[in-house]
Amino acid sequence: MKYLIWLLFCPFLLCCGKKLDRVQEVLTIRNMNDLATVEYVVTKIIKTNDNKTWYKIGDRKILMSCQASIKAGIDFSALKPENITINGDEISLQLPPAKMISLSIRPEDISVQYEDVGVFRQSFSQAEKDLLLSQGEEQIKSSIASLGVLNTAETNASVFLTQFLKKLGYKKINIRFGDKAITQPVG
Amino acid sequence: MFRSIKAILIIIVVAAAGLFLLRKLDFIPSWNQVFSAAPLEIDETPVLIKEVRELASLITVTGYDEVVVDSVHADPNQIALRTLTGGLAANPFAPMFDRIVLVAKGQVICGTDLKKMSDSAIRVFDDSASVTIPKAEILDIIINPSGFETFIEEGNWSDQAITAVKIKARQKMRDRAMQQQLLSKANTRAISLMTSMLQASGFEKVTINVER
Repeated sequence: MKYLIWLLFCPFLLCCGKKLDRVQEVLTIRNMNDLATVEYVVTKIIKTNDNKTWYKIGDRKILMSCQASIKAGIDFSALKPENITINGDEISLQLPPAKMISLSIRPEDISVQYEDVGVFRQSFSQAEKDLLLSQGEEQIKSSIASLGVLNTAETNASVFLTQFLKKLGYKKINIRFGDKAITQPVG
Repeated sequence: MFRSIKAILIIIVVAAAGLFLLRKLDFIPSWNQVFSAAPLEIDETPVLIKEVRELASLITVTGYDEVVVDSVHADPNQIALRTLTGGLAANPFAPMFDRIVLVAKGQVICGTDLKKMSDSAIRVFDDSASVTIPKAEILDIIINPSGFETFIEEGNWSDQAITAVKIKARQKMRDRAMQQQLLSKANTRAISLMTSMLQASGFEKVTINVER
């Protein structure tokens, strides 16, 4: 009898016990050495039409818009003592090329503009919306070079460091990013 | 009679072997592929620049964190149905409450905003330099859509309600960063970095102060 009750309730116990696994909440701290010099605020439309599955009847379309912030700058940890040359009141810096530091899409900067779901279809779940937005995130990342973010980051870094080194008393400042050279003589 | 059965069997075996071979050579899709849903893919759209801002933020410490946030609200349809019918007409298995549980992975970026440095912050005398830097702050808390995992989504959730839950995750990450004294670590690191930088720039005596 005991086994019969167990067998009867076993499927319920297995199905209904949707328990949240205790996620290990760990804060990992990492030391950085980046100088962020530019922030680009960009917008993007994310749209899809889920009509490619042959056995699903009806369309399911969504159109979202989002705003992202791209920050770029210089990684100073790649700067070695041999990259700095001082000759009297003249200083030369050879800096690493600019890199993307962060891409941020805040939840409040995402909005669903249009959603059309057929009667035989289910509306987009949160997981599906996040999946589509993740693809948008990747498209934004891949467009960074064409937006000129890194060039602006290098120009801004050069301007900031020139002003900083000028305050430290240097008269002639040469800043180079990889192979490119920017000379900033201080008048 | 026997011959015709034999012929049918041979045709079936040959057809099965043919299908098996075509599947192995990937000429035809598998049974699972035929009935699997096509993946959701977004269209290529342009990225438009809205604004360009000049920064001078020295990022010194980044905390990588993972938090769990949830929210529960009563399902008004179920409650109305149960109230009106005394619980008789309502589906007893339908949940009374809508529930969402999200797992969020993100980063808390801390550093010093060097744009806030005043003109009098740098003082130089011979081989000595004294610099006063602004105190460290949380520059950004980043939880992108790719950082969210929906663990449970039951019932109907509006976009505004989901956004509120996601903002709660960001606040939780901020609180945890403050508990871990990330800003204090960022200040210490900024002093160390500025000292190294000035020493590399030819100054022998370097003093770095953090603004109060």
